[in-house]
Amino acid sequence: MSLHSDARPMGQPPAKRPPIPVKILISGGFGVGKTTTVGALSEIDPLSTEAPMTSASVGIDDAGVASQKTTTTVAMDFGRVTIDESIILYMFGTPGQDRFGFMWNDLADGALGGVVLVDPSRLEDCFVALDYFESIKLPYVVAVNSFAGRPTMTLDQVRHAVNVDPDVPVVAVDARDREQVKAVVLTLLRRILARAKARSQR
Amino acid sequence: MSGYDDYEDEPQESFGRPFLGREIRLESEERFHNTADDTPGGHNRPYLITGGRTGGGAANIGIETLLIYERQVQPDRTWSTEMMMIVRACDRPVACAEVAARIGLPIGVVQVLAGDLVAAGVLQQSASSASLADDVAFIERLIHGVSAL
Repeated sequence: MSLHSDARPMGQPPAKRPPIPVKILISGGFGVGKTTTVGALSEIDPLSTEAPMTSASVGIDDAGVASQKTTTTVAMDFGRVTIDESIILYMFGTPGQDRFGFMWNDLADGALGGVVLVDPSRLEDCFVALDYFESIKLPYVVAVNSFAGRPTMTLDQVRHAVNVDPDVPVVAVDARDREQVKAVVLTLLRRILARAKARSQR
Repeated sequence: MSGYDDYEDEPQESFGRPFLGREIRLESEERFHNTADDTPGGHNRPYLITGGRTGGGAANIGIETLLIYERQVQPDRTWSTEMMMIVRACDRPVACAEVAARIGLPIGVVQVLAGDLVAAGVLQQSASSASLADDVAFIERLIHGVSAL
């Protein structure tokens, strides 16, 4: 199926129709930089249904001793990138905690791929997202966010620790850096492309 | 029996309507109470304005589905305030989630009402990109576009 699969005579302008939305998910544990990642590439300030944390959540969402973060994403943040006149990319930062599992299917339905953000000092926080993406066979990449002043692991160490398939890319990213976030998205898209090519040759 | 019974004794002020928007008020408390009394579980406030329906409905509106206002359709007095807010937010193609964030309604409510508006021919909805996941040409175009950002 192609973008303009509707039959129409040659030479006539295509009927006015909305662009195609492309959805990718930016997932990972609390405080790992999902919103920062979305904001680095988005053409709009990330939109949000974010609400302040309640005291009931303290201890559940432990952002670590070094974190100044006092609120968490209880719904989702997202940003928009207009690719061309007929494709608009939406990046949805998705809460990575188990207790938001009720949202996952809605978020993932129709998604082209996912980015799992990893904080090397709290590796286990990404496992829920990894498990979910694997269970629905969504193409994904692992992006290790570099936090200034925190001890870092090599990408090989992270790969070994999170135990992903050898063909899953594990890359480093500074979530604040637009070019680096762009590179992560491109890595994901190339993985999606490789899968599409493999399937078309079957 | 029903968990909703627990709300029966709450003082009237506590019937917050967080999802009706800051500027919107119901016409009267009486109307609200009638609705609540007539409808089991009617205290489930956000979905009062969807008639209790949830999800994208037959139109299958996803959170990323783009919506655009069909300008040849004139606003109708029968549209609810929330429908008008949605229509106004769709003056260019905009994702359902973005509409919800901009007008301050829960995404589930916008999905239902947008589905109604699509069914009524007021809004046009985009196709899903899910079927394009295996379209090599489409993915290549996407890569080209992101590279050029």
